[in-house]
Amino acid sequence: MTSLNDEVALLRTVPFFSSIDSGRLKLLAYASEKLAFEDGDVIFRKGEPENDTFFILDGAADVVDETSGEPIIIAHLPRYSLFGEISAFCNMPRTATMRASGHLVVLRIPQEHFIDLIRSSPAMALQIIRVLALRLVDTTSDLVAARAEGHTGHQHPSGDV
Amino acid sequence: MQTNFLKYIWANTRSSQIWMALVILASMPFYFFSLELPKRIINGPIQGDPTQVGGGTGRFLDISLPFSERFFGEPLVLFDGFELSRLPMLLALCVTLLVLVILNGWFKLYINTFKGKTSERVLRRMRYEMFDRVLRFPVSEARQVKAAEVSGIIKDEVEPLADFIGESYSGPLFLSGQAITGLTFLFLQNIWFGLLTVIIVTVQFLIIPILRRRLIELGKERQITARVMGGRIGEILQGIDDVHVNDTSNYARADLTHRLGDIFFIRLELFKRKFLVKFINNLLMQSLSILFYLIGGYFVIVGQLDIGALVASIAAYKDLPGPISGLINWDQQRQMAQVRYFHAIEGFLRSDLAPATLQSEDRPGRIETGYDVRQVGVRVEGAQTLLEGASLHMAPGDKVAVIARPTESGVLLLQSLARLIDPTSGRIHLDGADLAGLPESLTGRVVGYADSSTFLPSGKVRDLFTEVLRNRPMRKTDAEFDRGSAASREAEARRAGNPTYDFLDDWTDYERVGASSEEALIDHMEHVARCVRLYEDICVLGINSPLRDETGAITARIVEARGRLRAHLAASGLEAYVEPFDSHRYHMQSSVAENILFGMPLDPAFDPQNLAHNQAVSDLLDASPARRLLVELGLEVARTFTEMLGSDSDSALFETVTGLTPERIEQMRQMLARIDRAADGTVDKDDEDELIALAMNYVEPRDRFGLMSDELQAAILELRRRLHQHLEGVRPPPVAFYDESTYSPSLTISENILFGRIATNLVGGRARIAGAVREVLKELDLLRAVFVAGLNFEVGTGGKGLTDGQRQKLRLARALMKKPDIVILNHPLGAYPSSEQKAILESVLEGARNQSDMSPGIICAPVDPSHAALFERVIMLEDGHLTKDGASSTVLDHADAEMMEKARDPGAVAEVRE
Repeated sequence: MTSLNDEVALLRTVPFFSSIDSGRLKLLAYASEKLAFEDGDVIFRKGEPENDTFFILDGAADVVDETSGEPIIIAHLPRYSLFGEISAFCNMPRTATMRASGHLVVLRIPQEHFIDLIRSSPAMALQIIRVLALRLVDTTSDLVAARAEGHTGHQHPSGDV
Repeated sequence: MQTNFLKYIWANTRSSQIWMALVILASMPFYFFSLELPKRIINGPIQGDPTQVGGGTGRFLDISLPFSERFFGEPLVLFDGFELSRLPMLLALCVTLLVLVILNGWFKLYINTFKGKTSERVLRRMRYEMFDRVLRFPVSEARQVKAAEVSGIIKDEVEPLADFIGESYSGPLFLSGQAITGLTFLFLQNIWFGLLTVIIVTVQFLIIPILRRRLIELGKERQITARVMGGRIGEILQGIDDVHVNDTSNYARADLTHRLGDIFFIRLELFKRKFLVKFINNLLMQSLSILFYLIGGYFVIVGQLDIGALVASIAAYKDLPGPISGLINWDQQRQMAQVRYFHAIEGFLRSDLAPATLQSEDRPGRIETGYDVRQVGVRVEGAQTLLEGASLHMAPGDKVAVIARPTESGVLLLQSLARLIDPTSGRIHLDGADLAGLPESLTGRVVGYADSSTFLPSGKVRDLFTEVLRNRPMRKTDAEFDRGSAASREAEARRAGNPTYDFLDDWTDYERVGASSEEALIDHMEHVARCVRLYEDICVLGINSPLRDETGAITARIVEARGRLRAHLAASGLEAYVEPFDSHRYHMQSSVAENILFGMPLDPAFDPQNLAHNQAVSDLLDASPARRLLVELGLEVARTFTEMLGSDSDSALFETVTGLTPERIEQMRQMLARIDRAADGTVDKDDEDELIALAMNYVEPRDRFGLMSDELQAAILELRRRLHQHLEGVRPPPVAFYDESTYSPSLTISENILFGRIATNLVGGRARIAGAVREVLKELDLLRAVFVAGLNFEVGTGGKGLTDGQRQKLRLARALMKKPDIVILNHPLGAYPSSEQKAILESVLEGARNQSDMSPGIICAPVDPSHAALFERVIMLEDGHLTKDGASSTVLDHADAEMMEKARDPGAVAEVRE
């Protein structure tokens, strides 16, 4: 069982949280719920309205697309990844389904706590803008490359769903 | 009901009033003797007879015929009495006076009690008659009655009438007796004075009532204003949600203030008037005595009247104002009571009451031929005709669906069948007899009705089931009344015109549902609950309720179930998901306080959140190493909290997650600053207590600070042992300690079997463990006990302990519980999604079709018209006219899409009333 301090150390490895002081991060971890899933359990489904953010403490998760009927794994998120933050920022329904790949332990960060943290920390807000901007750069270059190659369908592995 | 209050009292208390008058009459001589005797004591033995040696003797108990001297010229002595000397005479007279005083007191006691008793009987009769009438109001009218107003009238408005009832006849009788005696005496003294008095008294009797007329009006206004206010308060409370969600609380306040203001100004005028009348009344009476002095004095001065006669007249006059003003007051009381009475009963005087026989006649039976509806129409005032000329026949056993456009027509048709509204035209016959004239003892037992209403009275689930079987007292029970014997209660009920049904009897009609015992009745409830798919809900309630088990047979098996559950969990790999309570181990999933306690607190002083300040625990802590360790733990928690909070002075997030108020946080900061300042690291006693309180709430898996050392765990276990020793002999026990080998009555059934806490954050783990608990209960054949525990669940006011859907299912279950011959389902189960409604309807239909004795008929207007396909026959109403009636496949084939559209708001539809 991880202690609060371990969780804080892990959260710090995520670029979003790197600039937050340890007390704040500790509070965020403390306010979050630790959940476990078994292999194949669905964490949330595409279109569901809830907006919490998840951080993988142990195990891995798959981004799954079910639109064609048969679920297709479109990305694999390893340990210490963050997912679900897009819904938290934009208040929009889930854009994809997340499924546990093997035994999975996550920290569920309630949306209001996540947003509260950003509000109270301009440094973090700046950090987030930076991360999102970098993602945009990546996506743009992917798009350029894809156009050049004449096919689409490449998914960014950061798992912003 | 009689509208004249005096006549009403006379009609119902004639013999009591006569008896009261006789007793008062009988008490008079004793009263007069007791006034007379002190004079005799002083004039007789005390003063003595100065002409005789030693003061002489006197006669004791000599009785002569009253007024004999006046009529016969000499006193007619009936009894000579005894000759007694002064001292024995004094003693004898004093003893007599004592006896008279006691006798007078006793008369007063008797008369007052009797008056009270008589008033109370009249009140009881009035209240009963009012309530009886409400029960006989036409249903549609009764629904519109403001409950708070009616209960206010029955409870409060008639109460002040009690004062008048006792005085209603005896009062004026004796006051006028006294007044006439006084007047006669005055006339005997001087005819002019007599006439003068009569004139002034007449003026009084003429003027005062005129002045008081307004008083009576004001009284009436006050009564009605107060009543409307009561109704309004009831209404506001009923819609309290709206007040909060629409911010209308201040409007509600203003509403009440406005009404209170009205009442105040009515009262103010009332007081002013009342005292003005009193003032005029006194003025008249006193000016009369001045006239006596003036006129009498004049005659004395001119020598036409001797002074003795004047003094005697004035003395005689002094006794007059009492009874006269008493009479005037009585008259006012009478008028006030009359107005109050009339306005209280006014609302209950309806000519369209259902005949009493409709509810009193006991004529149970079964339905043979069913419903015959002939040309029935319902017109709702101000709306288009919603039902016109509908005719149909429904035999018992028929399964009929009604689909309608507009849906209200179907609702009205089914309400007419249930006699909840009266059709404005046409007739409905049940078994060949006009439905309107059939006693409720028949319709109320053979017809079951359920709509989407969610109203339930408070009580246990079991009572809600059996309530519909309580139509008449069935058998005596050994329950005893809190007050009064059964015989005296019955006699009193009779005297006040109340029915003599005994509420404490067992009213449940087991035979009607073919149950020979309590067990068989529970079987029936279980069957019905399964039929409406309420069984699982009741079991869930049961599994989460404590089990009362007098025999101990079931509770013993629950302890066995603990073992089984462990085996089950081990077999399915869920073992680690539950941390069992073990008296020899620290329970990680519980807080420090809960670990010290290791039981359910029965005394609030032992609640985990109060434990830090509990004297017994503090004493034990002082002598234990745990104290130091807990202070350290508290200090660590406080430091971590302040670290989390950082420099922010207020963090909503911090407050939410820690549950600490800003004041507590500030206190914590100051405390830490104090502790850090102290060079030697000492902490003062108060701060230590504060830290211990913080530590008491620590739960390792939740807080994850990693502070639960082995040393601390051992110290807490030691503390737990000592606390248990300490509390062992305390009666009543403040804590029910957990014990692996016994059933714990303060825990729920599920907690008892689990006997521990779920220690997994695995999503779905909780459901799997609950499933395992159910499995174990099933294996041990304990589901019945769980169901019975669920039946004992208190649903709370208005059934608030259940969901809307559960309440609708329970209402449906009540309709089926009485084994009716025909079930009317009027847009039932609106709280559920269509699929669940369908499943329940299917289950009810299947239950009805499989019923062994007689398959009940069902007529149903489903919320979702597509469910009509479940029935054999469908009736279609279009624009208020019955257009199709036939096999469901045929009718539904012809129904257009609009017809089959689901009602948008089934709840609102079911509320449509006449």
